[in-house]
Amino acid sequence: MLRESDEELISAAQAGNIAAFERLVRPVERQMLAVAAGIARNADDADDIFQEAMISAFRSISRFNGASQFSTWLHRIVVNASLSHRRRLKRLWRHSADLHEGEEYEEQHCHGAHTPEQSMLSAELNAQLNTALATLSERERIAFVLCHQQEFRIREAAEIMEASENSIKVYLFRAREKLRNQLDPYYRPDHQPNRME
Amino acid sequence: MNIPENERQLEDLVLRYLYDDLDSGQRTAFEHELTVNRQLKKLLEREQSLELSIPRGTSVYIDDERLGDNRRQVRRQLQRQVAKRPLLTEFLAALVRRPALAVLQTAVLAVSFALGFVIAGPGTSITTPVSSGTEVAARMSPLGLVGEQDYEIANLQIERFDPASGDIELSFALASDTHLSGNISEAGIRTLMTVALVNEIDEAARLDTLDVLQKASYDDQVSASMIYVLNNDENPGVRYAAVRSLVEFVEDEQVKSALRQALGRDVNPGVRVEAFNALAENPDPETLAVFRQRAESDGNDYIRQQARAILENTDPNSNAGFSNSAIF
Repeated sequence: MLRESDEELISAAQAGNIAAFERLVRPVERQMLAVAAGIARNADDADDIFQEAMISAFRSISRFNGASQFSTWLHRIVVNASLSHRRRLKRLWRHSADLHEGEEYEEQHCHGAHTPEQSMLSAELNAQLNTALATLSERERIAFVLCHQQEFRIREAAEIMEASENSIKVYLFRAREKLRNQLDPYYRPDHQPNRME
Repeated sequence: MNIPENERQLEDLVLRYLYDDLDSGQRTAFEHELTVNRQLKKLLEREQSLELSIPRGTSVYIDDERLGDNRRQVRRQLQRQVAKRPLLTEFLAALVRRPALAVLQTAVLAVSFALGFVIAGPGTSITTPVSSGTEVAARMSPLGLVGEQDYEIANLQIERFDPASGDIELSFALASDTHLSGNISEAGIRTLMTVALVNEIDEAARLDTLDVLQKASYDDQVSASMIYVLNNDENPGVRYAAVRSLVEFVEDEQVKSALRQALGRDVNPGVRVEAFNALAENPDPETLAVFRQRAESDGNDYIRQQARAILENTDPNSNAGFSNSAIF
């Protein structure tokens, strides 16, 4: 059977076809979930953000006009869903100050994601990275996730975050500086990072 | 490329270098400058130190199970949304108009109430032999094939509650892992399988079910479920299997109508080609109208050309005005 083009799938998804929508997002859904997981505070929040973003994308695909790449458009929705989710949590925190106590980033990071050569970070470095990421501001974190983790270019991140390239560079620079300070022991010459294969 | 002297601008340049934001000429100039500009080299080494612990591309690990769980959750929510649209309602209404399908109608209504026949953990497994057609006929819903004591309530959600009146709306899934044995000719098993075609999330299970139903004797119940699958299943492989089964019964008006719909609407060219070939055997005026539309706009060359050939044979002047535009 022939494979439908993205244009056909977009057209069908805009008419409400779930299968077409699923086929459209299939190539990038793991990356979208990784972006949500990079931004969110914990795995449950990340899953919620991803699901909200997907539903939102399906609802609004009729407004997708091809001005940007479909994957860029999807990532913008994930970022916006993350920001909305965060705002909702902040409103909750005002009423329940204890909610953010003890809240920890707990995702497992790896390099070379989902390839046979991927290597998981050691438990020690992973925990330290999660702690370091928690010190970043929301936008520093998003810029870092997009450019460093997901390897978007600065101008692509600017398009996704709807910000100027200069702003992205500022967020990135600050994020890197904070992470460097936190992770300093891990790249000293005398430190032997322990990576699990 | 002009290399700035200001440290802030140098840092900016280093970031652009690290994140592939320089073109090849700029990269070459930058790398040349590194050999003579100690300040730039120092800044780059400082930034590269981060890469030693977390190289670019280090991201949150997403395993297949987590991705699959999320995919299923999204699908359920999307299906719930789309179900609010006329599609499923039309299907149910069509069943009401077809008294011969009372069995399937009851089953689908039961399933729409129960929000799915969800398979739960192995701890609840029971065996329910289907001994007689009469006994099964008395329990027309697939839920009737599960012992009442074996239901489990899962995913209960309170969707609306009015404390003043006490009115409440709930949604939940009934879960039970059930083993059935019997014969495909028995109404209970056929009902279960035709409903599973509509409701089962697992694509491989839907394909297996289609395969078995295809081998069973054809009746309105099997036909209705296959038509539903052809028009609505999200998986092109399942729709393709459904259309391959249905083409044998193209003389049935309901089937013919479904094939016309698939030819006009399905995004998958394989499905459309099968529907087209079946309809091309003996095209009636309604089918020719669909052919005319596909001759103009189908993205598949075979369909466009064959449709044009049939239309020309039917009416030699009919190809006037055909364009090369294609939608899908």
